Amino acid sequence: MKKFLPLLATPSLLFAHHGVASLGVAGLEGPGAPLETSTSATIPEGSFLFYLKLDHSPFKKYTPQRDDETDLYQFWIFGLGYGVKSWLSLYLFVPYNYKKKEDNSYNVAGFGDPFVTAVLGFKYDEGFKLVPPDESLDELMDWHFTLFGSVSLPTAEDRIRNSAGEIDPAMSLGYGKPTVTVGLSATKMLTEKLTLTADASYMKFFENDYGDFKYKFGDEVRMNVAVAYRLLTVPSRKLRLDGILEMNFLNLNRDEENGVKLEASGGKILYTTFGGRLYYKTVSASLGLKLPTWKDLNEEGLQQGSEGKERYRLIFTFSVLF
Amino acid sequence: MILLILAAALKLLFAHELTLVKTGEGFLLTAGHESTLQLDPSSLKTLCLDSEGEKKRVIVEKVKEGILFKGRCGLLAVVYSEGKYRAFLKYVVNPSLLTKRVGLGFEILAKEKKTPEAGKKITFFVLYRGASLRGVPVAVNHRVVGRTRLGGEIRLRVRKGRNEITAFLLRGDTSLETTLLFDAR
Repeated sequence: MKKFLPLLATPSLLFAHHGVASLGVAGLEGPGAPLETSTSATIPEGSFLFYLKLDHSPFKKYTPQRDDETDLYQFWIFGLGYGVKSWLSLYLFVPYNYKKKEDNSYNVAGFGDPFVTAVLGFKYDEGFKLVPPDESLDELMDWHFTLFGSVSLPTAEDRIRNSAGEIDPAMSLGYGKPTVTVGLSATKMLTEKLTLTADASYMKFFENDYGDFKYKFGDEVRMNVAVAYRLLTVPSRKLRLDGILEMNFLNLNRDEENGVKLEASGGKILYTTFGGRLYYKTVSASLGLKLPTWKDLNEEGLQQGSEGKERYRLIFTFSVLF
Repeated sequence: MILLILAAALKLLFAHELTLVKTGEGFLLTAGHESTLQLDPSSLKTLCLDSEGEKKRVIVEKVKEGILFKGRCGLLAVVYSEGKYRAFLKYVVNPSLLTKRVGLGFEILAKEKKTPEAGKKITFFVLYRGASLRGVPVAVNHRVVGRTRLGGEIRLRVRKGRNEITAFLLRGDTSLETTLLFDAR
């Protein structure tokens, strides 16, 4: 069973998005936001954030025949966030997935499991404290942290069948059971132009009963570190451009079928991501390339279509704070 | 809209900015080199407090560089009005007077009784006609660093040497600015 589902809806990947530090004066000079690493920014109190992300992932193929190898995955995520307090943000994310095999034997497209996320922001300023509203640029230089938790709502189709009538959980749109993610992020503006961000998260899957068999995706641990450097600021046009470099580590546990750990699943992957982010007023768009630079998959020869076997991943995000 | 107002306010701020400089004799009020202000001593009011907060006399003289205030002040406050521009300046020499409210129409105060130490942060707050004001843009040493939040507060890092904290406001077609100055090691 090939495993790729975690790519489609890992909440920990979703906060590396808005990068609009705040409305007004701080927006163009506040901390930068990475592409994949979760930023420690919260949404300003009373504001909304619309978010869109595309993750385009074509895979390496190892045989010349059209023989069921995974060809392409595209994951879209639509999100809406709200700043309940300056230190508490709530989000609703809805994924849309497109998965294609090279022989078109098992193509799927549709909405995945939506998930809700809460982000608690705190900082260190002569002691730990919740993030206050309207931080000055001086305050934005402090260490900022978030604790985040996410739960998915298993509403998407979890047992899509191929032309032979078989279910492949990894090719379905949903997991059939909620997934739970918890994580922590830390952000520090090292200088007025350079921002360091790191995060760690754990994603827990639960066993789903597919009728003929039970299946559980392996839990995931992610650790990311990123730097964003402010390359250009044009205050008169409210424009800013950042360069971004990240290292993204992913540890996949083995999947389990009927309680037995499966071969051809799990492993460790280290990605390098580089790209840029453009800010215009309260709009932010980013584009990046994510490449698997090191991997230790459990049975690498059997894991075509798994994380670490992508040719590349092209990531695009767009967000608006309003 | 916020950005437009801010841009307009910034333009006014840097067009007319007044500042106080400490000299051997006292303090010198000067205008930015692009300013068209006349710096007429009859357009200003002053208040000098000694280190204990008692009122002291100060001598005001028009000099080539601006207006000179001669006196041993632990705190010197100046209100200057000209046309549709009004500036409230306060130079605090004795750190214990950073929290001292002197009744300027537009005033910045430290919230905590703390000796300013470079690199450490202090919470300040902005009052307009005695009430705290939220959303006021604040600059430190001529760079806008944020806006005041609830309670008129803004938390700022103390710079080594001269600290010039300015808040500005548009009321109708009158532009107001208030500046708090102090030195830190």
